[in-house]
Amino acid sequence: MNKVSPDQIHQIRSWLKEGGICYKDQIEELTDHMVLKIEATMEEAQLDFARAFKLVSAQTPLFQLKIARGTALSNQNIRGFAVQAGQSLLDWRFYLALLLWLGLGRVCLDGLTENNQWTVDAGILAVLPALTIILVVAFSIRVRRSWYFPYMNALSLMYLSLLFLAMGIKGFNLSIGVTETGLLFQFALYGYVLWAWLQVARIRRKEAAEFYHQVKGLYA
Amino acid sequence: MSSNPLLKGSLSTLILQLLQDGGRMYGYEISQKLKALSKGAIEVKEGSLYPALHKLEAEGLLETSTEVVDNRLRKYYKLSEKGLGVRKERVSELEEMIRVFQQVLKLQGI
Repeated sequence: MNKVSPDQIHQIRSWLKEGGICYKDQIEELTDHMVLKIEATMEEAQLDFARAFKLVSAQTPLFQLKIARGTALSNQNIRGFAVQAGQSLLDWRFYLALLLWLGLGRVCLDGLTENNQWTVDAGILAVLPALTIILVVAFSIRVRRSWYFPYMNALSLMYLSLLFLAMGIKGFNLSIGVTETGLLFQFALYGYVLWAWLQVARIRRKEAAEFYHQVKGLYA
Repeated sequence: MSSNPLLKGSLSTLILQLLQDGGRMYGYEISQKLKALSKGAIEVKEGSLYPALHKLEAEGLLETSTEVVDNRLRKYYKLSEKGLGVRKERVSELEEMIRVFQQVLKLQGI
């Protein structure tokens, strides 16, 4: 019987990880499952690893999505949220986004502390990002699919911390003016969020096209 | 068959029953066993199987253990003490439901 080699097993593991499966034990369990499935496909259809892997992985967009949803339904949302936030600390893109987010935090801080009172601007600055975050987090828990969402999760935590910090400083009667730089940061952040959502839509379309192409190619 | 709502509602009961008969099993083995026993009529997709297994584990009905097999970890599931009792209840409920369905279908002359 054809066996999947250790290197190929490692490849499957990495691919599951990149695909959004975030728990170590779940990655191991699914790796074992995929290896068995690939070996069975190699045996039954007399395919080499590459073609069997393609065939099995062609089913994965839905597979991963369903696993993620199932996991979310198993009351592990908070753990998944924390794990993803932690994983994102290892990537430079997180720090780029953090820079933007700190800019927004500065704007919120300024808005909240200006004249030691809540203003319409301060309210907008604080509420709009909060609403964005709630939507993004809710969506990411539901889909938990792309690398954009873990970053947004981590940033959401940062934002909330900054908001509380701003409220704390307000209590000490500090007064800082709203800066143009801060506003630019905020525009950049909204640009980032919009870009992330567009990327997700693009990935979905690409996956659907690849799935069709692989299946069509194998059975032609 | 995996998208059949009847199967979705009964999957956890079928898993509990399989584990009662087969002792400890891993995910792929469970899906293959279900397929073989039903002569291909029940083909459970991974997206349904693993969430169901994890849910049963979270409810304390299953116990797990891992073993290294060919350079990878394999997770085995088996019934817990609590699972043994719950399996009996759920299988009885399912049998009763099937009996009621048959009765209704017979009355309707279907």
